[in-house]
Amino acid sequence: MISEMGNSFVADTHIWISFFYRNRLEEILQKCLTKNIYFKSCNEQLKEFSAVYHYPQIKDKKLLPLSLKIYTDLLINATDSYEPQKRFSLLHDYKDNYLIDLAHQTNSTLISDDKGFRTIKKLSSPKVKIISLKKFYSLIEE
Amino acid sequence: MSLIEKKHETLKEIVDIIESWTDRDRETLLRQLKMKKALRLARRIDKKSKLKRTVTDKEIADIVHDFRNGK
Repeated sequence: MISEMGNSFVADTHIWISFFYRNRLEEILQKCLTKNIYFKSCNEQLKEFSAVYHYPQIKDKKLLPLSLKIYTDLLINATDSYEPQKRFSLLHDYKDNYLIDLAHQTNSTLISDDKGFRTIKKLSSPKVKIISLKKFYSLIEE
Repeated sequence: MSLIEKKHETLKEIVDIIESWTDRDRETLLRQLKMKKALRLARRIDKKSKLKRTVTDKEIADIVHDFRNGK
């Protein structure tokens, strides 16, 4: 199944938060290593993650209890950095457009359950494969 | 040959070996080194996440969605 969609993935910011919140991050990364799966990220995602880290709902629910630096260091080290060269204007100023650009330009599959991507799934260009977190878990468990 | 010279020799040999690699080999080594650090950090993060986890993945997705929409 992984060979169908390649081994390069872009994980949406909420996916990284889910990875951090559950206490099986090491296990997930180990499984990715075994399956030769790797992640792509970019500066804009780091910036977004840093802003989300301070978002009141994240703080109130204690989703990210450690310092911001630990999470950003992990993101930097667990991903290959790539800066998108051009921008699509698809989602009416929707702030996660950069994820589509990143996934499209690195030929990666986007892992996201954000409702904002429902429109993208119907478009023929740019062709970006989007899968849910549940689907991703089933891929690494195969 | 002094110990320092020997060390230099060893370092030179290492540099020679790395320089003989292809870009792809170097990329793989860098990725492996980075992943080693990531795994160390992951263990730290996992240790700290022993709280009762009551928030679902869907709720987390919705929180980030709200953030993006400026709610």
